Amino acid sequence: MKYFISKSLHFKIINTSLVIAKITLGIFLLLSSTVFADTDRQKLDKVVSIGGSVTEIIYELEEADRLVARDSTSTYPNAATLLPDVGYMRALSPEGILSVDPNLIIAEDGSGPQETIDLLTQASVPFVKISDGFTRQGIIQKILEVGDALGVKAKAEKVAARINDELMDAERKSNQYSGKRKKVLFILSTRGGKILASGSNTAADGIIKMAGAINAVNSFNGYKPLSDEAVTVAAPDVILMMDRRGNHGTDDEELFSMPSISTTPAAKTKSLIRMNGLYLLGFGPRTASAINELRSELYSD
Amino acid sequence: MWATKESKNKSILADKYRVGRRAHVILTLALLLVGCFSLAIGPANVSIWSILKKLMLNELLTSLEYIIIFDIRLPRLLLGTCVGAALAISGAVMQGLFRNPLADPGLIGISAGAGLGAIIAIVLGGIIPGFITSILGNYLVVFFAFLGGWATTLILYTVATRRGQTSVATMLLAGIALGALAGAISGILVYKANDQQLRDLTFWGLGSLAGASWAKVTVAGPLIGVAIFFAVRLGHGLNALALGEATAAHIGVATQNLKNNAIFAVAAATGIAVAVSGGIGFIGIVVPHLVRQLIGPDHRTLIVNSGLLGAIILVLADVISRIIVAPAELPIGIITAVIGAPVFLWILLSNRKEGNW
Amino acid sequence: MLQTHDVCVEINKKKILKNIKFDVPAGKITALIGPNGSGKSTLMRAISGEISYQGKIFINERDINFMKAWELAAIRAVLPQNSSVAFPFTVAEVIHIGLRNSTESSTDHLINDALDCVGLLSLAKREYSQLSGGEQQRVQLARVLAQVWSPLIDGSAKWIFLDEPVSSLDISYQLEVMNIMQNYADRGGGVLTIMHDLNLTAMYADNVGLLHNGKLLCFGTPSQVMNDKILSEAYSCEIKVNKTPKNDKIFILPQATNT
Repeated sequence: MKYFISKSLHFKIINTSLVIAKITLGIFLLLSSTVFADTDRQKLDKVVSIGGSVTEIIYELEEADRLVARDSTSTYPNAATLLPDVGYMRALSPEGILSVDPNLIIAEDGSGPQETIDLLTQASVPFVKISDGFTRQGIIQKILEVGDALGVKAKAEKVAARINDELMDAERKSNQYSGKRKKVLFILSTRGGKILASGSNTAADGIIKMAGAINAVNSFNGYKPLSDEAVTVAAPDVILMMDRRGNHGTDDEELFSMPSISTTPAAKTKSLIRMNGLYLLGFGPRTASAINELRSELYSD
Repeated sequence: MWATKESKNKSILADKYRVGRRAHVILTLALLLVGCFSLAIGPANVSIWSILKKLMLNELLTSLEYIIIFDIRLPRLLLGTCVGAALAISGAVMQGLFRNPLADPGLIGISAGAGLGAIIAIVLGGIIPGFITSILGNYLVVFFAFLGGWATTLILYTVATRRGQTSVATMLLAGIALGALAGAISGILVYKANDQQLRDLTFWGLGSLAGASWAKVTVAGPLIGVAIFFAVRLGHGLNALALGEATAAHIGVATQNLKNNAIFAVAAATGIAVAVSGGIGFIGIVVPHLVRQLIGPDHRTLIVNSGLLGAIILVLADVISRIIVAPAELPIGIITAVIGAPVFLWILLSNRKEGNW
Repeated sequence: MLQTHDVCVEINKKKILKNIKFDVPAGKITALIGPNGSGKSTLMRAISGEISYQGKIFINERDINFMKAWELAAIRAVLPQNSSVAFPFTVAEVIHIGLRNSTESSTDHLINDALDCVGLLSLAKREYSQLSGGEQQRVQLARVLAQVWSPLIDGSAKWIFLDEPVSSLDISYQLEVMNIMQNYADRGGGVLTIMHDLNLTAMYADNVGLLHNGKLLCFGTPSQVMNDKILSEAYSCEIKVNKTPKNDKIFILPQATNT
C-alpha cells in the first residue's frame, strides 16, 4: 500500500506516455533524438552538499574546497554559509542545483522532492543519498558514506574512528552517571499554543538517550502535537528546545506560564535547556560534544 | 442622422467583441513570446539561442543542456501555462457564477477544499479501496482534489445564494468558514501522516512549479484542457447571468444546467491546478479583473482571454521565482500574492466607491 | 391567449395563491392589482415560469411546464421590478445579451430601435450600472421590447410581462412607458402588468385582475372591477372612485379616515 501511495504521489507514469510527450515536443522544437552527447566525467570537484550534517562531515573530512553549493540547512561551519544556497533541502529546484554545474550531489536522506531527484539523476549528475540514523552507528555510517561518495575512503575511516571514540567516550560518561535519570521533553515549537514534541525515532529522542536521559514521550513516532494533558502526564523534569536566531522562539517565562507546561516538574525548577538546532539534532561530527554539553546541562547539580 | 446613429451603435457592439477576439490572437502571441523567454531564462547558464543555433547547425547538445531545456524548463513552462490558465479561468467563471468580481477560488475556500481532497488522497491513500486506486492510478490525487473543490463550491453556492442573488458577505464569510474547516480536517490528517507523507505535503503546500515533470504535465494538461473546454462554452450563459438569475431564465438560459456546468468547470480547473502546484493565490482574481478593465466584461471573450493572460502572468512569476534568489527558489505563491493582494484591495475599494454592496 | 387553470402556489407550507383562474387575451393590456402581499408578484413569477405551481398555465395554447427556457424566451419577455447588472456591461450590451434567443434577424437594428423607442439611444455606449434607477428601468424595458420585438407573428401573439414597470419613473416617463405598452397591445401583442397606481391602471388597462389574500377577487374591465365597494374591501381602506366629467374616465381618490 505504501508503495502505491508514493507511486501515485510522484506521478510516476508509464514510460510510453513520457516518450510520446517528449517526441511530440521534440519535433516541435526541431529536435532529433540524435543530438545528444555525454559530458566527460571529470574529477568530482564540484560538489553540492544537501543537509547540515553532511556539510559538516565534508568540512570535517577537509574536503570543503570541493564544495560549490549547499542547502539552507547547512549553516555550520561559518565558511559554509558563504557558499551559494540552493534552497531548503525538502524543496529543491532542479535547475538551481544544475546551475552551479555540479558533478556530485551528496544529500541527506529526506531531501526532495522526488521529481527533483529524478531529474538530477537523469541529468547524470551522481546523486548520493546519505542514510540518516540517530545513533552512534548512524553517525559513523554517514561519515563513511560521505567519504565513499567523495572517494576519500581512507581519510573517512580515520575520521570515523576518531569520532567513534569521541562518541563512545561521551556515551560511556552518560551511562556511568549514577544519579536519577531525568525525563526530558523536547519541544520543536509552541506555535499557536500547540506543543510540538518529539516521539521515538527522532533526532531529539536519539540525543536525549545518548546524553543519559529519558525521552518524556515515546508513545508515537516522529514529531506530533501534544495535548495539554499528555504534557502533564509526561511530567518532564527538563524542557529541551532549539535556540533560534531572532525572536521566533518562545520566552522562558511565556513557556513556563503555558497551562500544560506549568504543571510539570520542569516548570517548578525552571529547567529549560536551549541548544543550537543543527548542533543538537544534526547527528554529525559535533554530536559527541553536543552529548557532553547536554549531559552537563542536565546533570550539572 | 438615423444612419450615423445606427452605424455608431453597431460599431460599439461589434467592436468590443471584435477587440476581445483580437485579444485572443495578441495574447496567444504574447504567451508564445513569454514561453520562449521562460525557456531562455533560468539560473543555469544555458541559453536557448545557443541551443537553437546548435540545432540549426546540427551540432550535438550536451546532456545537461538537453535536460535543462527539455526536462526542466519545458515541462515547467507547460505546467505553468496549464495552471495559470486554469486558475484564471476558474476565477472568471466563478465571478460570473457569483455575479461578483471578488469571487476567487483561493479566497473563498475552494482551493482549501481541493487541498483537503488532495491530502486525503495522499494520507489515506492506503484506505481507499484498491479497485478505485487502480482505476485512477496517477490521477488519484487530482481526482480527489477535484472532488474536494467540487463539494466546496456546491456548499458555498447553496449557502451564499438565495433566489439567484448572491450575498457577498455570506459568500466571503462562508468561504472563510469552509476554508477553515477544510484546514482543520487537513490538520487532523496531517497528524496521521507518516514522515514521508509529511515531506510530500510540506512541499506540495508551498505552492510551486518546482516539482514540474513530464508526468505531471501529461496528467494535468489533458484534464485542464477538458475543464477549459467546458468553461469556454459558458460565455453566453454567464453573460445572461449577469442580468440576474431570473432574467437569465427569462431570456432562455437553462440556468440550472449553466450553474451545474460552471461549478463543475470551476472545481475541475481549481482541483487539478491545486493538485499539481499547491495553493497559488490571486491569479483567479487579478487576471479576470485586468481583462475586464482592458477589454470589457463580455464572458464570451473574457474566459479565453483570462486563461491566456493567467498563463502569461504565472509563467512570468515563475521566471522571477527561479532567478530572484538563485540558485535557490522563492515560492511562486509569494510572488503572486505580492502582485495580487494590492489589486484585490483596489477592486474592493472601487467596489465600495460605486456602492455596489 | 394566456390562461391559468386553478393555479395554486405553496411556499414553505403556506398557501400564497389559491385557485387562480383567468384568461388574458392578447392585443390588450391586462393589469394585476391588489394590496401588498396579495400574491401579485407570486402569480407573475408562476406565469413567468420562475416557480413551481399546481394547476396549469398556457401561453398561446401551450402548457408552459412543457416548454424549454429558450422556447418560452421566444414568445414572452419579462420585465423584473428592479434588476442590477453585474460587471460593467454597456446599455447596448445588456440589450444584446437579452437577444440570445431572439428570432429576429438583425440584432443591431433591434437594439437601436428598442433604445430609440424608450428614448435612450444616446446612452447606448454608457455603462449600465452608472445610470439612474429610472434610466435602468427604461433600458430593461428596451431589452424586453427587443426580445419580443414583433408583437404578432403568423397570427401568434408575443407577450410582455411586467412587474410594476413605472415604479421608479417620473410621471412623464410613466405615461411614455404605458403608451409603449398600449402601442404593443394595439399591434396584437399581449401585455400583462402588475400595477400599483390605480389611476394609471384605470387609464390604460383593458382588463383588471384584483388579487386579495392569494385569491382572484374579480377580473373584468376597469369599470367592472374598480368600484368603491370592491376596492375599499380589497385594500381595507375607504376608496372613492370618480369619473372625469369630460370623458367619463375613472379616477380614484383614497379617503383620509378623519374626513
